[in-house]
Amino acid sequence: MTDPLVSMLLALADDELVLGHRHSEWTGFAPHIEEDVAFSSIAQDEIGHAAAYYSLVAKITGDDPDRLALGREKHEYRNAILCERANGDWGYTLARHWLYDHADALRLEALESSAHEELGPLVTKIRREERYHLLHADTWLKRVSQGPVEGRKRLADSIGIAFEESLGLFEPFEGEQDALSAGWIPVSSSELRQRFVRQVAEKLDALGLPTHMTSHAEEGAEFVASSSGDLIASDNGERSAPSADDGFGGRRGRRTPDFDALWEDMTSMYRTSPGARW
Amino acid sequence: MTYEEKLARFNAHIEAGGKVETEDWMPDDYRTGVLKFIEMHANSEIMGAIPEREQVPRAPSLKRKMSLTAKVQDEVGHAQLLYRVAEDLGKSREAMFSDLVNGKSKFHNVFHYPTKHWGDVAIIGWLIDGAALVTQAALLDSSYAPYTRVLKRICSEEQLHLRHGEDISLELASGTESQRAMFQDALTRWWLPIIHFFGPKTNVEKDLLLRWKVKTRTNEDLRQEFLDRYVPKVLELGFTFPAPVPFHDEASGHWLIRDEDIDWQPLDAIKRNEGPETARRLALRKTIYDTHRWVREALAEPAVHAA
Repeated sequence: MTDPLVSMLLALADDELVLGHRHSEWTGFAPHIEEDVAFSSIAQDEIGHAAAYYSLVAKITGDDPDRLALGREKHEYRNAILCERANGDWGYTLARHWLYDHADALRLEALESSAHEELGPLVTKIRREERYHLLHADTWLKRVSQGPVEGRKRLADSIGIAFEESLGLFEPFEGEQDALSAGWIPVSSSELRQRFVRQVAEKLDALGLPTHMTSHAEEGAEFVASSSGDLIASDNGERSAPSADDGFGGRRGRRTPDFDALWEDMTSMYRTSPGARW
Repeated sequence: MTYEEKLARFNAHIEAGGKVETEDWMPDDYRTGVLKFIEMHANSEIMGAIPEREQVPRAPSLKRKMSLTAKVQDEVGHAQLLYRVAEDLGKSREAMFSDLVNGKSKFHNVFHYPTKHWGDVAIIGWLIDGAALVTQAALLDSSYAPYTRVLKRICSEEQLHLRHGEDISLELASGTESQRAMFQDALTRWWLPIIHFFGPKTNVEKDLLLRWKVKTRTNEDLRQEFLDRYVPKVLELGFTFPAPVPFHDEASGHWLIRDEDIDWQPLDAIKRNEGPETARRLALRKTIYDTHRWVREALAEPAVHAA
């Protein structure tokens, strides 16, 4: 069985790498020139964080950070499905950026007091950068949600799609129980997930975006995207099994066709001369 | 003062090495010429981001993935700075961007070509950026002062890019057979476009921008500086040039190419915006531009809904 610490770090690293890769696909093509520059910065930060997590893994397993990032088979990646989804339009990118960075902030807040002696200080450093990502995402969400109708509608639709899959970020990773017992991660994924749902619901409500989430947030209920893009709480208080959901399975190595294409692209040059210096 | 008197004074000012600020009086031809020149430079930075960003997703290490993203980010940042300088001469960014995506304005020839692999990143970062730096450094003393201020910053960032490109080139040159083959393949494809980049021989009599010292050196002069600086380095790494093959002229000490060895046809096509990648890249940019009007509107509109 995989070392639970390695399993946890790979989930973190793969999320950051894959999302950073998606963000960097906007580099040179973002719909607004200032935003092109801003998004490239965020992409570099995310890839940098991935590199730091991979280095911790490499220390434990004797592996090489670049091989971990670019030399693994598709099924060995452990990112949440949300991160691998194709960029789509800017509205989806923005919705995912906002949801991901809020989820990541909660996760990092917990990890700062990890019992692992190197992870805590690393997370402190990462949180300093992530603060700006969050600020960037919040500013945009506010701007678009208070702006003209088209942008507002696109954003609401995209949040409807991305929200459901964002819960996959809190799918327990392999060996999570052991990681909790060891104190590597002080808060369980399911507890983080409840905090996330509560926080996102409050924020969306404050922005006046169409959602019925707040009334059910306390119970941590499931929400589904309606065809109008509104987030509607299912009345079913019981959560359905995550595996039945499209956004889940990422932590167990389930990959979508979006990832297959990303992987082919991302690893192609590395695979021409594995182990070479570049 | 009549227009003619103003013009005479302007010419004398330029002749004496004087600089021009945005708010100064300038002849219409000067304004139009400078605007077009800077607009093309800005277009080239933003279109120049595309060939390299095509390889960002395939970057072969984490370090290179970050550094190439940072580099392309710089190029976009340069475009942003240059569009602002151009805007002050009387054409809105929106209009310039619209002209660009609709194929009504120009950008440098080298950005009309495809990239195939990491060898292209090496050639672009080292030789194309090297060529660009030679031409941009020559503009640091341009008569249009706002342009030179922005160029100062651009050139200092380009110096870093050049080191980055040289570093990637040296890694490939000292790497595996397949890495060396990548570099040679890219060099073979890019050499003629790089020579084209400097343009044909300058017609000194007719070149208004040269006369008004917006440009300070001729095309052939700049090309010569580039050849002397880079040809020996590439040969030293054991790579070979396709036509026009440079040769060493013992008498002058220069690395030369023969004008009759240069096929100008591909450049003529690019001038009509008919390069190998022109249509595809402009279409991509146009699609994003057209489908994301709402982003620009969201940024432009004052907030209409209370939170």
